[in-house]
Amino acid sequence: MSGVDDGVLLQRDGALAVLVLNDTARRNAFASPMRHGLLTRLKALTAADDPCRAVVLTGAGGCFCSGGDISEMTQRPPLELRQRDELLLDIFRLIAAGPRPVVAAVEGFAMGAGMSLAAACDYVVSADDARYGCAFVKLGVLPDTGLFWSLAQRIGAARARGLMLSGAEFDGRRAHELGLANRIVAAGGVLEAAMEVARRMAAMPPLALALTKAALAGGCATLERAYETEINLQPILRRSADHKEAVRAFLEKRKPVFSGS
Amino acid sequence: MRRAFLRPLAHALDRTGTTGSQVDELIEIERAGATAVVTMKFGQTRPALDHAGGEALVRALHELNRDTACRAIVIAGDGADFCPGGDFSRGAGEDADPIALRGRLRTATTLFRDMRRAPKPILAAVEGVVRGGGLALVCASDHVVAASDATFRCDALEAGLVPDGGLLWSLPERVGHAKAGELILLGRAMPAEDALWAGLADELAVPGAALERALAAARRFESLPAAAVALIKAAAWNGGTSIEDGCRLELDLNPLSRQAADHLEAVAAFMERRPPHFTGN
Amino acid sequence: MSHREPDFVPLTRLGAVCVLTMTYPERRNAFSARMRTTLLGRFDELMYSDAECGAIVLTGAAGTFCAGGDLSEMKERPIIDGRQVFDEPRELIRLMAIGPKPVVAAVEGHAFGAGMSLACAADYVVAASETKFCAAFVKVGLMPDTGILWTLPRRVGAGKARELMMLASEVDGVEAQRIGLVNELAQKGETLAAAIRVAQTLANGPRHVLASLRLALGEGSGTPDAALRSEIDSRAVLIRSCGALF
Repeated sequence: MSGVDDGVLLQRDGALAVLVLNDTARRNAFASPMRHGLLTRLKALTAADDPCRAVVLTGAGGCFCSGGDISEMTQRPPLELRQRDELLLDIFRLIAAGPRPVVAAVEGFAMGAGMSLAAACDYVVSADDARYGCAFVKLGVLPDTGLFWSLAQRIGAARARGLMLSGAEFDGRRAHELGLANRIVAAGGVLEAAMEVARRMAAMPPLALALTKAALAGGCATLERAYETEINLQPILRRSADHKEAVRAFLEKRKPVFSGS
Repeated sequence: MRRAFLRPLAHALDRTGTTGSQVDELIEIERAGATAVVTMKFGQTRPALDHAGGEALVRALHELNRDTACRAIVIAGDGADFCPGGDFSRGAGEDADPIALRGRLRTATTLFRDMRRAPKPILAAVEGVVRGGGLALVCASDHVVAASDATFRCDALEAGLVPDGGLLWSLPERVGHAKAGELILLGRAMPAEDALWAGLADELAVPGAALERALAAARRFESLPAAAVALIKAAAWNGGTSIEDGCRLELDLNPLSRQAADHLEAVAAFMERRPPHFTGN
Repeated sequence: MSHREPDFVPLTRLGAVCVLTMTYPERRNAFSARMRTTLLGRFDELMYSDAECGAIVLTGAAGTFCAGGDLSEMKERPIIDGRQVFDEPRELIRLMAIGPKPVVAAVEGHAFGAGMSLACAADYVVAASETKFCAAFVKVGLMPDTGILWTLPRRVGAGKARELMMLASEVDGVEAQRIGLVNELAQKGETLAAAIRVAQTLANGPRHVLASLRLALGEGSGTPDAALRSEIDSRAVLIRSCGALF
């Protein structure tokens, strides 16, 4: 358990790490201390020597994240704004393009930054009555924390554009229809369901997952790009212990036992 | 199936145009509050979309994009159908010399780019049939309202052509590669219900009421900060498919949005627990 | 050309439709080295050297499509060889996805791993509701390959593709159609007939336009700018050489 009070709790469960956004008095608003805390935790968990194989991201008090801290939206010089956004992008990259699978467990509000954090994850389990919204436009700011990329990836560029322009709010059911949520469950069962998905991912050969994520992060916009990526990365996997174990297990007609390399 | 198109009641549209050249034989521009309605006119002498119609749309858009009083644009057809057929190069002179022909083909690409780069949302109000270049207009729009009995078709292949107006990009962008193939390669018609599910239409309306609903959707944009809407649209157009492209966009445009007066007003209004008053700056 | 060994991909003609049947029943039509080479030869011939062929149908023998890579062939290779082994499947997927003639897949049984990649590379996919698709790669310690990093997201969206690839989940024909992986469902045993019907419609279309379209959709639409360039290039040629048929 983390002892630093920056609004982010870490709980380990075997190969899983559960990150909990924890500032319930402010509905887990994504204020600066929480941002720094999340970045620090993510860096540690995605380090090569950390035993974590999958991350679950959730919010305390039945709420995922209600958005940015509006009291922090003071006038700042452009370079400071860029720096602040770089921090958000670092968080985003670790979730979306980092080596570990990340599963979001969303109950309650996932507005603004909350929506960005959820959309950045590899898999989203949502309560059917969770509330989503690209609230950014209503405050006159642009969606951040990678939402331009992640929302388009999940629901298609056209619908993403529509949601970001209108700032419309919608529930978990609609999020599921759109593809923003991979799965919806009744509130109360969300964390459990997310842990189950995370466990399945944690059981996969970690290098294969990590390189798959790296490949997808590059954006395979054309067949050529996709194939170059495949040719660059697949040979590493073919030489990996886990792949060789999978082949042996297949030939010996038994289940493979992965070692993580 | 054709049926009489019911025009909205006169009071719903303020017919004062801003300049004298708003009404011609190809398109009509009217105002409904801060929304401009651009209506494509088809008739006996002009049964389908063509190069001249494309050029008229480009001109109209050019003007409306620079009109700060205009906060949203709705495109509609004047008859029973949004667009009964044709495309943006029809009538451009198939016998023109190759360079001139390529020049004329730019109308379609210019129109697509201008629609996507416009600093305000563009909506399509679709009644009846959408064919040919009309489908490109729909896919280039930000919000599509379709009458529940509307149908969408890409007829480029049967005309012996590759579709224009950016459709090669914008149709798969909306409906995915599988459905885009059904429309483009097989020329299948997609009814409005399917279009809604597939992402080709964003909203359905009772037949005859697509324009009304589109105007209501357009009005919702009026209450949002204009600069933020424009920058979001810009970022969405520019965003490539890699994570780095998306990151760069956000980083570059974010500071500008936060300098807007409307942003500061939004924050102040929130802190003071009152409704914001945006000025469009 | 005579084959002393079994033909891994026999060809059947029905007018302008050419049906290729992956045939390696003892390994459930695995995407073995010989299967890859034979498929590549067939597609290359039909796409570029066969004037009769207007559309291609790909299916599998013995009630199954393709079980994926042949694990018994997977051995460690020297680095350069390990890269070059991708050349043949890459050329095959290019032909299927971007070549001048449309491809329809009739998928029954299993389309796992590279088998799923093959299905994804087609323009139109017919499946039975019992058909099972699975991007099984990560289960055997590999990443998704054979072009699926590009072909799957464009059919089902990047979010769903990511889910299917990272979890190696199995989806049946019904779910596959819902998400855009499959275009049409048919009864088990009748997917081939349905695929041939669609292929016949495609084969009746204007060949040169279809060729332009496939190239434009496959290679010329990676970005909006590329799509707009493709549009002008193709139309400039088509309007001048063939005239519009409006």
